[in-house]
Amino acid sequence: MITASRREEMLVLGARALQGRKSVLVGIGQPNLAAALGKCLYVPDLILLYESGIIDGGSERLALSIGDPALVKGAAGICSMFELFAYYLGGRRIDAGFVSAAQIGRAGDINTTVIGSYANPTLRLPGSGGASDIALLVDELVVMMPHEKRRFPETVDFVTSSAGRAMTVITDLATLAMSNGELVVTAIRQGVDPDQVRAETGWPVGFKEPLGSTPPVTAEELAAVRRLDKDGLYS
Amino acid sequence: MSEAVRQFVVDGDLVYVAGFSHAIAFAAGHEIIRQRKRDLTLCRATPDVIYDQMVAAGCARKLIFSWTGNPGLGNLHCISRALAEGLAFEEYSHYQLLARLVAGGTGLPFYPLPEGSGGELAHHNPNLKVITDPYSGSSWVTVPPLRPDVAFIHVQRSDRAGNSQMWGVVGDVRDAAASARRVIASVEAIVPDDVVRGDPNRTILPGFLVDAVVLEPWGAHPSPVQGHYDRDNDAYRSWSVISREPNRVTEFLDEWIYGVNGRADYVRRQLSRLKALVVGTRLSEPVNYGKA
Repeated sequence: MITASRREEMLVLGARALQGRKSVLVGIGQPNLAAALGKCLYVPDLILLYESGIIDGGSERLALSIGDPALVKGAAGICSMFELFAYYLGGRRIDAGFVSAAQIGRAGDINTTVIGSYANPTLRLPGSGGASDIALLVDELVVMMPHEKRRFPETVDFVTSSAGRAMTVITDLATLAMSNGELVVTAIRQGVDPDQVRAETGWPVGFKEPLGSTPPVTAEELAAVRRLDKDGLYS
Repeated sequence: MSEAVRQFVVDGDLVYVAGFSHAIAFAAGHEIIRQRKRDLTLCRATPDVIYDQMVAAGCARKLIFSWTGNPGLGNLHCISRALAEGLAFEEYSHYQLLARLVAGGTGLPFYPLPEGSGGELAHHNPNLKVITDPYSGSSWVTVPPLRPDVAFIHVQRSDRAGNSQMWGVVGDVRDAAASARRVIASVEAIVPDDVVRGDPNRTILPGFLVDAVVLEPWGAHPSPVQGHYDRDNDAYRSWSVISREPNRVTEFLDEWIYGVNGRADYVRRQLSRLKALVVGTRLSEPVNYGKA
């Protein structure tokens, strides 16, 4: 039997997290791949929107950028960026956001701006783009990122997107959600020890009782993720 | 393009080269580099490879942006180095930067955005202020208007009067152009008036706002133009490697910008590569405007 890698499992779980939703604003990178997977496997009617203004984008091949002509062909609509941010996000018409992050803190703050201080950073990251606006203007945020201690500090180096709404964080080791103002582990992957999750989290992270387990990736899910990501663009 | 840049770009200008991942006016950026314009404030939501090259060439005094990366490939290394060495900058979220253009273009004194907009940028960017809504008493973050001195857009076609038509991702094109004091449109094709007037809904910018039209096929390469050519992903990947080393950046600028005689020459030197990017034809259903 061929088993999914932790990364493939994370993508499948990102796809599963979109079940029950109507419209999702999707960031580029791994969220885009997971969202395409979710639409193809579970929610064919899901409306995926991109900050480039593409509404219910086409998917004849995986997009390398959110303005990729591959998303334009077959899209339901294309609006200006301002129309997207002002009417659809600002008008609170979009259920959820699906993004990645460089750092996420105990309180659910997200950093995609700098590592180190803002005035004198050790590493400058791309910055907000639409991330901070998305986080502010959707009901729930789904975040997908590798589970590493440097990415899960107690407090982030810079608050690009502040906490304040429901949030699900999907990593290669676990799923976390907000509870009483902080992120707690709600499920861990099969074969992952809770101590490994503790070791890769920068604060004494709580575990929800009873802890959920992650249903294994099915052969159909694995085939779909490998078909969509056949070039390994986002690996 | 050479004439347009000479006539409409002045050292010290606030320049906006428009296009969000699609139809980025690369030919304009390269001509600005070739003419060694200096002290420009370069504004773009997503600086992309074009501003990485313009910053590397020494055109910029300041950068205004909301996302500075090479899409899908990590950092813009020339801009990262310049920022580390002290290049002035103003950083926003996308919504904030677009709202600045909309305020600038429509004559609003500021644009209000929901409380919390921009996260901690509010502590670092003095242009972000907080006001009280006089009706509800709630707090809003405001951004001031932005009016570029000159905006460059690249579109599929225009007529001789500069009525410019675009399809595919339109991104920030109208907002950047309509808020700018001067607009240069580079176009893949100049078409008869009847073509534009036969489908007026597709006009993204009316000609009376356009100061110059430049016929510039391949003017957006390596970014894509819907219906003309695909994104040159290899060029973006290659820049991600070249831009790590200042020596290689200099070689690139010498070979592909200073060393070419305008866009036509740039195209001629890599024609066989570019031909592989040409997309096939997929026409939309014509619409009926009716006949009186």
